[in-house]
Amino acid sequence: MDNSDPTSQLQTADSISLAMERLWTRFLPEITQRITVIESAIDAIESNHGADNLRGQAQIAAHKLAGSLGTFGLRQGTEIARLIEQIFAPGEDPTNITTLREMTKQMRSIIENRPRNV
Amino acid sequence: MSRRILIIDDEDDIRQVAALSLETVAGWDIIVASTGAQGIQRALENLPDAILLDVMMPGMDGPTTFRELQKNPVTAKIPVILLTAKVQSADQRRFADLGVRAVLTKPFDPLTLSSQIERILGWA
Repeated sequence: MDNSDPTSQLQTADSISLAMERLWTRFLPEITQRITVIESAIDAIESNHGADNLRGQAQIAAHKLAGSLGTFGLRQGTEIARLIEQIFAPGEDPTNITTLREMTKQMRSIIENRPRNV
Repeated sequence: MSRRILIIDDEDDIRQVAALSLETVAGWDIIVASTGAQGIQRALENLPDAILLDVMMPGMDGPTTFRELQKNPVTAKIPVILLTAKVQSADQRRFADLGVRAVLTKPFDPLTLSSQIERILGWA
C-alpha cells in the first residue's frame, strides 16, 4: 500500500478516524463499565465491605482504561487511569477516598465528553 | 510489501483498533487471538512475520506465552513485540529482559503503530 503522497495519507487518516469513531461507539459500554467497577471499589472501601476483591478488579479496570483511552484520543484519561491503577496496587492504601472519587469522576467526564471526530 | 501480523490480546477493543490500524495504514494481513493458548495455535497455523503480544492477559499471560513460543523451533523464529500499559521502567526492563524484540507501551497511536513496528523490525 502506497501511503507516500499527502492525499493518500489524508485519506488513510480519515478512514482511520471514521473507523475509530465506530469502534468508540461500539466499546463505550465496556469502557464505562470499567469506570463503574472502580466506583464500586471506592464505595466498598468507604463502607469497609468487600473491598479486597473489588480492589483487584478496580486495578485491572484502571489498567485497561490506561491502555485504551489514549488510543481513542483521551490522553488525560490514560494519565488519570494510571494514577488510579497505582492507588489500587497491592500494598498501597487508598485512604484518600475524596481524591480517588474526584479522579474517577474526572475520568468519567472525559469519556462522556469526548469530542467526536466526524 | 505485505506482511502478516498476529495480534494476541485479551481485550477486544485493543485487538480491533490494532487490526484496523495495521490493515488500513500498512495494508498488512492481520490474524488475531484472544488468549495466549489460542495465539500459539494461530502462530503455528499461520507463521506470521511478527507477533504483537499483550503482557497482561488472564490465564497464560504474555511472558508465559512468549516462553512457550520460544520452546518450539518453528515459532521461536517469529519476532515478538510486547504490548503493555505498564510504564514504570522496572516493568519495562523486566519485559525487555525476556528476549522479545521490543516492548511497546499502550496506548498506541493507530496512525503510527505500523511505522513503529517497521522501525523495530527493520522493515522500513
